Amino acid sequence: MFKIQIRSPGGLGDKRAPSFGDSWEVLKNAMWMIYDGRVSELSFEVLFNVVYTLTLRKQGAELYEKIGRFFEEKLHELKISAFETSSTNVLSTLLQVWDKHCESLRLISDITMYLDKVYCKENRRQLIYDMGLEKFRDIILKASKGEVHSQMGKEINNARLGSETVDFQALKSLIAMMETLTDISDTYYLTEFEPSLLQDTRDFYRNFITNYTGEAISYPKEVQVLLDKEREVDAKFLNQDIMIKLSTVVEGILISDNIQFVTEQVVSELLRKDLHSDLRLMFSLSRAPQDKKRLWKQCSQYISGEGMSITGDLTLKKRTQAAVKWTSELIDMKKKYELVLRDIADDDSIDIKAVNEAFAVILSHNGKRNADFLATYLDSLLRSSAAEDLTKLQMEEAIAMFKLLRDKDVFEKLYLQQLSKRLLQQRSPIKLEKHLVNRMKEEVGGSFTLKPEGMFRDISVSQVNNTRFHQSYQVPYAYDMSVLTWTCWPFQQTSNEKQIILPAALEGLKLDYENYYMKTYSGRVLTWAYHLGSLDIGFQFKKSYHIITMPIYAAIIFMLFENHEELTTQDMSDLTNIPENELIRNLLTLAIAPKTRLLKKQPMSKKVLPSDKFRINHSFSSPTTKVKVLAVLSKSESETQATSNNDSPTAEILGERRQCVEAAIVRVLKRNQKLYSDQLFEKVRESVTSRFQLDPGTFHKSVDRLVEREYMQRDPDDSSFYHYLP
Amino acid sequence: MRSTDQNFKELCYWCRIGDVENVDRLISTGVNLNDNDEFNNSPLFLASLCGHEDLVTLLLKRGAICDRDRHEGARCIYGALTDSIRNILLKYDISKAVDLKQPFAAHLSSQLNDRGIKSHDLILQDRAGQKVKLHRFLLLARSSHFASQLQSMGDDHIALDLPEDVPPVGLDVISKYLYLVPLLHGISRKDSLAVGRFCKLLGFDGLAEFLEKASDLQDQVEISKLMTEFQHRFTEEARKQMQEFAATVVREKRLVSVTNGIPLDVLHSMKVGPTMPDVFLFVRKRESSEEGFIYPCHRSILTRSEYFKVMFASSFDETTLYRQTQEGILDRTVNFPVVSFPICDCQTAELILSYLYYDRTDIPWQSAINVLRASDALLIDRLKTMTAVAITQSSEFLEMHTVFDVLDVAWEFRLERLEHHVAKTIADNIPFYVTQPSMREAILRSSSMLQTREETDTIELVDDIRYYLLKKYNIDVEDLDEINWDENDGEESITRKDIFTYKSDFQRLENLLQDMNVNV
Repeated sequence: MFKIQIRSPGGLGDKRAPSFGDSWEVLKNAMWMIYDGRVSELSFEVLFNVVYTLTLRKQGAELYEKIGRFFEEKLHELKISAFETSSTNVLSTLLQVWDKHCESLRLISDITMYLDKVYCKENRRQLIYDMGLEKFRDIILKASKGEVHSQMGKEINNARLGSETVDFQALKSLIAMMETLTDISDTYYLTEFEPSLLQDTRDFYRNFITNYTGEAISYPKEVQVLLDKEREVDAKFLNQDIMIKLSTVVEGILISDNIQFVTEQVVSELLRKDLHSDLRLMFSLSRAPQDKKRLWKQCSQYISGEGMSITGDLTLKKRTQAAVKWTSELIDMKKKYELVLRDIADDDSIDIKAVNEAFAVILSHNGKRNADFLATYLDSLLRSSAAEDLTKLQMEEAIAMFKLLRDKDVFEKLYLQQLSKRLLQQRSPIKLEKHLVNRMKEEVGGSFTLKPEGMFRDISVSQVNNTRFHQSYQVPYAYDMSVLTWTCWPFQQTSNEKQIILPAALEGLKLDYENYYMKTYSGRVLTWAYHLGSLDIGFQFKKSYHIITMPIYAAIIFMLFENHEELTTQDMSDLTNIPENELIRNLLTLAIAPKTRLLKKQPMSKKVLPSDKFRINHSFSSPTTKVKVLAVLSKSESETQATSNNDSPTAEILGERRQCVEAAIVRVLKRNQKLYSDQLFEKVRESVTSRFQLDPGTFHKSVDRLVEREYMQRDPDDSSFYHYLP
Repeated sequence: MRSTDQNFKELCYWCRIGDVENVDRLISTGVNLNDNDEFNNSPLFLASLCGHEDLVTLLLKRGAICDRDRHEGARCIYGALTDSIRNILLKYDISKAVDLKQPFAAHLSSQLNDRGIKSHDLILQDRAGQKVKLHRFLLLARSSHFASQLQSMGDDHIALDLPEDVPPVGLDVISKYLYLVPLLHGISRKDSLAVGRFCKLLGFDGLAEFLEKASDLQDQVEISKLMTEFQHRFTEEARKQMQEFAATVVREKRLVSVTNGIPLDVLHSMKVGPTMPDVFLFVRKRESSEEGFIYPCHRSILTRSEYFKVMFASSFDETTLYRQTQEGILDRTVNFPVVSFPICDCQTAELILSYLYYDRTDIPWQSAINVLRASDALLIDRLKTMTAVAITQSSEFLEMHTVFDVLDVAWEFRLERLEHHVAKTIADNIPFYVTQPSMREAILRSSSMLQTREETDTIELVDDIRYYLLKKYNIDVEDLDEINWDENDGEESITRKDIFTYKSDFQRLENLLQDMNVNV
């Protein structure tokens, strides 16, 4: 009958326990058998008991040393038999040895459990298992380190090149082994292998870049393919953490290290060829913030380059047309790139920034002309009779440009002039004008819109007055007065208007209105600005009847012919007291301008001399009943306008700027009492930035002047330090 | 119940003192942790009031409740001595499904899913074809219904069918109930009627009673209170069943002689016996005796010992007999191995078994040394601590053993608690001990340990004795200096008398050391 044998050496603390030498022989044999795969022939009980007894007898230290030496012996033997006899792949041999060692180690540490718990813990020694791993690291792995690393590198590079024969499972096991083994304070993988892996990766992709022969525009797609491929390969044998590290390295090589190529060639080409989806790809691939920045900068540079290539078409005869064409081209471009870049950006703010930066550059280049063009563009928008919604939309786009304009004061100058004309001539819907001004106020603040608002007030007050005036006086004519606050309007004050002799009808009206106005607002002085007004006169010419709208001076002249058949220039001057330059200008308008030749001039020349004679041109005709007489520009005026065409702001604007800067300096210094020069500059620059760009030259000149006038003084010890003088 | 009452009082005492091991030992006797003493204090309140952080954590782990919506819980939180204790209480307060885990219960729960040693040996299936793998012995121990079914079934049968009208959740409820996995919060009201019906059928009366009571309740707080109460009841019920079962294991032991090997037919008859073992434990009668007892045991219980856990999980000879069936459970038709117990003493073995099966921790002092030795060899740390506690608790122990025997044990098994106990005992009767030759020997051994330990320049044993001398007379080190000042006052105070006796005790120890020529 089959019997079960009990192999336990009969209880603990057996007084007849064998000597250390005998016990060690038992253990050593058992460990050999474990390495030979014969574990199932061994009794756990017996072996555990051997270790237990030795440990209890305080022979743990000796046992521990012996086990350590056993591992060394065994591993040396494995090294010789595995690596030096077989010629097969070093990696698979390594793995075989590793697996065998680990398995054996696990079983050995099972039987040495009591040693681990008692001896190792009390004496702060490594556990048997960990000690075995370290022995493996030193004896096997480090001995063949160079070869192992280079073989693995080769395998991985083969995988990147698409080789089919790569054994990913082996690579995975090797990495796992390296992560299991500790070294210094970290894993062997981190201290030894990873640097080599990363270096191999870098070399591989650097090599790719140096040999890159494809077109710039296909680079984003190529990079995407490479990254995908790398990820695919990595996923087969690496964990997430390492994959991320490798991806970062690869991106670093392909994008960050290659950023010059990426920006200067790839991005520019993509923008030039309108390959926006590739551009988007390029952006999403460049994940490092500094790379993204470079890309945005490149976009911005490219756009500003393109914008500056839109030159105002100076061949167009009319300045207005050139301005409108230039501005709308620019607006279209802006819309296009905003669309493109907004699509790319992951947050909403940055796209505007890149485009805005670009347009700020475009607008500051050739600044004065651009400001003029923009104002003119707005003027033509407001004068056009397009639908209100559409106009508002276009206005919005123009305001976005206006925001980016640095020399806002230049713009303001022309804008106010044009606005005043539009208002007085009632050439634009007041609602839209107000809307525009409100929008500007929202964008750049209230100081900018003080004058326009004053103008609107004048206009609306005047309308009320007109109605009242019409109610209280019998007025035979349609008669609109605009009373203007002169500080709000961009006109020079006239002084000699009183002496002008008006035709009787007008004189009466004038007196009536003055009368009315004085009654309403006592203590105010009305000064008449005839040169701003206009008058409609109906007249039967030989062929047709026309209603002619003309400036007041022209009307005064025209009405002289009610009583006179023919007059010389000198006569007219005597009869009306109109200043000579105005008289000549209006005569040129009435007698020379081809479309509105209401007067005949003798002799027929282009110049007006005091002796020239004028009479009504009865043969005048025009295709429309209504005729508008536009005042021609006198020569000197057109000259000033022509000279103002250059880029630098006019002397007048410079003067205003100077005042503005000085005021700002005093304001700032008064608040702070004392400041260093650069702080002062910074604060002043900030406070005027909504109007123009402050340059250090202007600033220093203003400071010098203020010091001279004793608004402030330099510190005696430090000349860059200023004190406010109350 | 008087005894529980006594245990509870003792528990409250240790909670004040802050003795984690003693509290753990008493909890294992099944004391209701959420009871109150005559002053309406709960053990948790006492522990947190007295500032014993480890103890608070232990009590909470073992199922003490701190619900701040109720008076008792709020009192614990306000009474907490330190912020860190309060934080522990507040953190535990959130868990609704309180896991009342006694260590043996936690081990049982882990066996339901643990496939580490693949010891499941039965498939339980319902009529819908759902299956779950279980242990036969647990069914035997915990359900009379299943026990009778199992006993009439052969080793070659592997599956057991549930009655027809069991609802789909039945399988889950049964297995969780058997393995003491908290399940009450998982039974929906919808199922509770049907579950209750088959519980009665299977003899799970406690569960049936709970479902009945809970169905009348609406208030969630009330329900969770009820759950806690019943979860505790289930654990205690299971402990009793496991106790009975362990008694069966012991009763079924067979005397054998190993001179010619153990006859297989003996093992076979035990294998189909009332405990359905999957391993046999052999205990020699005496050292190097050829005779001994074989106990029919269960691997999934023995693995509570680290020693057996590694043995069964490894691939040494002991595991080579086991096979799995096609269905993925243990094949019971093969022979099971006999493993031997490291101590040649049946009493010790049975004590260890009763600890493993149902957490018995009241170790009789007579067996304490052996149990200590065995639990050290088998790597059962908790039992080691419990046994050390038993030694310190027993006054008879020192009548049979000298204090120096205890010291030997303490050193051999690295039990600091016992070392302190010895030092305290010596301090309490120093005039006697300084005359003992063993005392000198002990001091020499302690100082020789110093060289190997290389810790400080002192002898640990002497240091400990000095410390307990101070404690004995309730003296602070600072007091000594102060007393020197008023020595001339001539005023007889109690303190002064104490100091005086202390000094003479102290001097006795010093004399001894001087005599031995030891520099401390």
